[in-house]
Amino acid sequence: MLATFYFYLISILVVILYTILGAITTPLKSAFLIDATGHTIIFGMVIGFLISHSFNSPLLFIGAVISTLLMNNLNNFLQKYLKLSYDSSIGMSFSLFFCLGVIILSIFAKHIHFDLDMLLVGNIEYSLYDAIYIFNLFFIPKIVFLLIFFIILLLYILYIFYYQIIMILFDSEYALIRGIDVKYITSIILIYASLAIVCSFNVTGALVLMGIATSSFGLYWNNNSKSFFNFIKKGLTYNIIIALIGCTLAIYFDFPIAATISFLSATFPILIFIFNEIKVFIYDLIFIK
Amino acid sequence: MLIYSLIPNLIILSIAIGFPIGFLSSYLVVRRWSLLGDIISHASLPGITYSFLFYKSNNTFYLLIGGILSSIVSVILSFILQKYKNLPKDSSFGLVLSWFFTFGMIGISILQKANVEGQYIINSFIFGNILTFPFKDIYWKIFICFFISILFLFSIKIQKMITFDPCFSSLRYKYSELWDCLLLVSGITIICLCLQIVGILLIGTLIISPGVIAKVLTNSYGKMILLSIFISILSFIGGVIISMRFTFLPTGPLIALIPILIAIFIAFKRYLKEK
Repeated sequence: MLATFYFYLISILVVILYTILGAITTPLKSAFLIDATGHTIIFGMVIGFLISHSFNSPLLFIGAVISTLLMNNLNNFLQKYLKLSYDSSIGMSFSLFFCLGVIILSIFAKHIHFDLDMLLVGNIEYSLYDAIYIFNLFFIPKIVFLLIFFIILLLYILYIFYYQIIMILFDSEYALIRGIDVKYITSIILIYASLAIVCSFNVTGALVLMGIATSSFGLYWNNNSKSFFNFIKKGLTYNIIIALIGCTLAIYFDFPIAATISFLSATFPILIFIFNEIKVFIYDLIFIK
Repeated sequence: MLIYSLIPNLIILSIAIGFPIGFLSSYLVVRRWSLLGDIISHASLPGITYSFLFYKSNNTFYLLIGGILSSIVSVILSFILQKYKNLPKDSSFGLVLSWFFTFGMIGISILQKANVEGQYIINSFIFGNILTFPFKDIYWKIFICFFISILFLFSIKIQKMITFDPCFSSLRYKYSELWDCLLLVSGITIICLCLQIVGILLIGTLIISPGVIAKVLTNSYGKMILLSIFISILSFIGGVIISMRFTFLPTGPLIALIPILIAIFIAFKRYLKEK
């Protein structure tokens, strides 16, 4: 019973975290930033794990942050000297770290059991093993504290840099002219994203985050969200409902929870769009000659 | 010894795949569809998984048909989202990619519970494993590669025109849009053919890197295609031979790593020159 409650709680916390993060990164036309970070941190985590031989070591976080920053620098370097577009350069940069991570893992960690499904979509059950027991009566998984900490940190970053972020979202070149250090803000978001992904790695894996992050954007794009705050509010409401439905379905059918939530989260914007288009098509067919 | 006896076959296959990959890479890079390789590869997962679940056979022909169909649907969906909902390119690609990929992962969990024999083949599609590649199917795969290369070769003029301006191209050639679709479907087919060697997670990089490097080195589209073909063949042969020599190394990451290292080397050379 308590485990089921934590499944719901962790899912909702993860969804809150990535909806807010997605609301910042997606309008910046860097939706793939979260996906790229998810791939890149594998390199840092593998190095951190090989040094510390523990999945709970802070070296994993440090390795993830360093590899993400290296990926960002490589991305800028390739864009500058090869004159590449953003999507080409980011595609190459994150793949370098992902390839190196997988190769190093195959060389040095041959005898370590590595759950490949967990790498892809995570496994929420694993997060329950690492818990704090209170008077041997009940337990609270450490990830709950970590996720709450990261949500508060993200809200704090939003509070401190709200003006700068809104300006960059509106037009990054205009923000640069107004004296905002776009690179600095982007680095903060990147560092934050890498830390958050490592924190929720057990739950979400590396590859299903983008669905949660982009879905609310896909749903409320062009839907007259009058302010950034309103946009986040609508996205959060939608994704929390999806998390509750997704978690229930995943527990009932024994599916991976993060994958089910991500799938449902991306399903509704696409289905609503398809039904709207069919509606317009039928209307045109009946009323317009 | 068994592994070494596969090397001639693998080199022939690498050359056969290198040609259409080179053509496709150049086309996608000049059309600014660099992320499309990633979308196609990730979106093929549900097709592969559910066709395996349906046929309960690890015959790659059925799996590839499923993969190709789901990739085609994903590409159509992402273009429609961009066109009618005005979603930014990367958001629509991201939404469609994660939708298809997570649908595929749910399929894998159904597959694990159904306990169907031969499930390892799905993992070989995700991470790429040269040893699971069915060499009995090599001839029809080489034939498809040859056919797609010929298709790309004879449509170079149309490719240039479409890249320059799709509207102008549709005025100039009656079947320009049909050619565009045909090239895209051919591209999807060739990406799905390579999945078992390179893997869903890394094929996107292999698709864009040769074209990107070639575009940096030359201004002519013809030379760009030649260079791109050369780089993709080099990557395939290099990756396959290294992974055959050191069997514990995975083939997919090695193949994808070679063009990235070439790109970084060129960028570093330019940096030194500028300094």
